[in-house]
Amino acid sequence: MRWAMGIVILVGCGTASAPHVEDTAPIRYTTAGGPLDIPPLPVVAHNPQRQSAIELGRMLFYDTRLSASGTLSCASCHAQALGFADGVALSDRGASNKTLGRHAPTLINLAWATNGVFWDGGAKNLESQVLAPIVSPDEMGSNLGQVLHALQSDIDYVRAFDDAFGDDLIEQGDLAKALAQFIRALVSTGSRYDRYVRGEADGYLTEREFLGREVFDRACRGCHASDLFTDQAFHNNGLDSVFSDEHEGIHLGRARISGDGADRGKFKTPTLRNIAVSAPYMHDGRLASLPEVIEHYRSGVRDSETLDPRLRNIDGSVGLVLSDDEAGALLAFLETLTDEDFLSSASFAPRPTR
Amino acid sequence: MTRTLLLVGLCACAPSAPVSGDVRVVLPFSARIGAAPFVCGQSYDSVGADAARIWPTDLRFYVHDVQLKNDQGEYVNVALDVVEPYQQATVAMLDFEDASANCETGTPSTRDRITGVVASGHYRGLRFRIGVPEALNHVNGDEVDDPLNNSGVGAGMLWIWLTGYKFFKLDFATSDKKEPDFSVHIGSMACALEADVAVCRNANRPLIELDDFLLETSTVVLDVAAIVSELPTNDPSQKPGCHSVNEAPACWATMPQFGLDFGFDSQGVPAAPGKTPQVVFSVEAQ
Repeated sequence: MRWAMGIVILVGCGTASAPHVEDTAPIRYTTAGGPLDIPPLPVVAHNPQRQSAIELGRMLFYDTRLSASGTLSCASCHAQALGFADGVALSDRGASNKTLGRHAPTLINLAWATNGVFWDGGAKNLESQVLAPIVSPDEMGSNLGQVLHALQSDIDYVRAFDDAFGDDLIEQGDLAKALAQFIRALVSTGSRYDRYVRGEADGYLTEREFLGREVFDRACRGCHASDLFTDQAFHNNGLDSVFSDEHEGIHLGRARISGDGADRGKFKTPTLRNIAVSAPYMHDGRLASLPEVIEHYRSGVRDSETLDPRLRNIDGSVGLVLSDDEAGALLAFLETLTDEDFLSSASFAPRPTR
Repeated sequence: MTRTLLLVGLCACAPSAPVSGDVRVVLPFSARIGAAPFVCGQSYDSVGADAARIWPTDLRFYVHDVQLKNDQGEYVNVALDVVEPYQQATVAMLDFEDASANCETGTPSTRDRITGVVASGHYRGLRFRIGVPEALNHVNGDEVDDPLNNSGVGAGMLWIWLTGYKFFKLDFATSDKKEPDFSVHIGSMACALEADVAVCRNANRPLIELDDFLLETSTVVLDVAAIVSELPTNDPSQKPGCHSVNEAPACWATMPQFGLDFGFDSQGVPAAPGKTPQVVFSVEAQ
C-alpha cells in the first residue's frame, strides 16, 4: 500500500456523475516516489553478466547464420517491437515449416526466472534453453557443429568471443553463455506505470487506470505478482478441462516435466510487461486480444481438478467476477505496462553495420 | 576405485594401455529390425503389433555402468576408454544411423562397440544401463562434452535439461513419405528443480543383463522390432509414439520391453510392469 500514501490528485474535477469513467478524463494520479516491487537481481555465478558477452550475445541473437537455411535468427520469432514475441499464435516459419506446439513467449525480465524457462519450466536456465531452438528441426534446424564452424571463420566473431571469454576458439558453451547474457540484459522497468510508481515527472495513471490497478491487485496479482507481474510459478488458468498427452505431452503443461497429475494444464505465469504489444496470448496463442483474455477470465474459465483455486468463487462458480467497468479499467491499466524505451532501445536492436 | 581413476588418467587422449592384471575389452553391438540389419533408408515389413512397414530414421543410445560377470557371479566394472567423440569415462554412445537417406537428424559417423579395460579374469555375462549417469544428465548446455555435446554426435539427443537427455532415441517413418512420425524416446521424467539441481522421480534407466555374453565371441544384438512388437505402429492414435510420458499408451506398450515399469498410478504402482527379462537386447555369436 505504500504507493497509495503518496497519491496526489493533480487535477480534481468531475466525472462523478458519469456511469463510465473515460480514459480521457482530466484526472491524473502520480506518486511522491517509491521503489518498484522487484526482487534483487539474481546472481548467476557460473555466467556473470559482462558487457562484452552481452554484446556478443546480441550479435548472435540477430545472426541468421544460426539457422540451417541462413534466413532465421532468434529475432525472427522474438521481435523487439513485440516484446520479443512473434505476433502469431503458433509459428510455422521454422526449418521444417511444421506448426509449433506452443506460442513464442516474450523475452522480458528473464534474469529473474530462476526456476526454469519455457512455458512448462522444462529448461533449467537460459544457458540450457538457448541451444534448443537452434537445433530443433522445427525451429532453426541447425547443426551446432556447422554453426560453430561458420562463426569461427568470421574474424569479428573470433575477436568478440576472445573479448568475452578470453578464448578465440569458438565453442558451444560460450555461445550459450553469450546468448543467455543478452537475454538476461532484456530488462523492462520503464513503462508509464513504472514511472508513476517511482514518482517521475512523466509518470501518471489516469483515474480509469488507477481503478484498473485496484481491480488488478484484487483479481490478478495473486499470480501476476510483484512488479515483475509474474510469480514465476505454474497455474491452470482454466483454458481447458481435459489435457491430452498428444505431441510429446506438451498440452499436459507442467505435468509433462513434473510427472505429477496435479500439474496437468499448469503453465508458467507470463509477465504482463509490454502485454499490449505482444498478442496473441496464452501458451498456444489461442486468445487474439487483451479484451479476449479478460473475457476468458470472466466467462470462459473451464473447470477441472487442477484449476487454480484463485479462479474458484465461494458460490461454486469459476472465473473472475468483474463488472464491465472493471474489465475496461483493467484493460486500461494493462496498457500502461508498455515500455516504449524497451521496445525501441538501440541496445537491444541489431548492432549497426559498419 | 584407485585403479579406475588411474585408467581414466591414462586414457585421456587414446585408448588406454592396460596396467598389469588388466585386459582391454571390446564389446560389439549390432542393431537389427527383425532379422535384417538396421540401415537408413531401407524399408522393413511386418513391424509392430499391426505388422506395418517402417523406414528407420534414427537409432542412438547412451550406456553406462558397464560390467562383466566373473566366475564367482560377481560383476566387475569395465573402465571405459575415452574415445572421442563416443566415449567419456562414465558414459558411451552407440550410434547406428549415418545421416544418410532419411536419417536426417543424425551425424555421418557411427559407433557399434564399447571399448574399455577390465581386471583380468574369466567372464561370462554382461550388464549395462541405458542412459546418461545422473551426474551428467542435467549439466547445463554450456558445460557438456561429447558424446553429450549437441554440436557433435549428440545432436538431437538434447531433450530438455530439466529432464536430461534422450537416453535412447529411435525414430522411424510409417509412410512412404519417409518423414519420421513415430518415436521411442527414453529419458528421465517427473523432474523438479531444487536449488538449481534437477531431481527426477522416474529415472527410466533400463538395466540390461545378458548372462550368455562371452568376451571375444559374443555380440549384443538390439532388435528394434522387439521394442514395438506390442504396439500398432500404423495406428494414428498411437502417434507420435512414446516420449517417456507416464500416461501415453504407446509407452505402456514399449517401455516394459526394456524391463522398465510404466504407467504409474498416484500410489506409484505400475499398470504396465517391466518384462523380466527385457526383450530388446540379446546375445549372438560373432
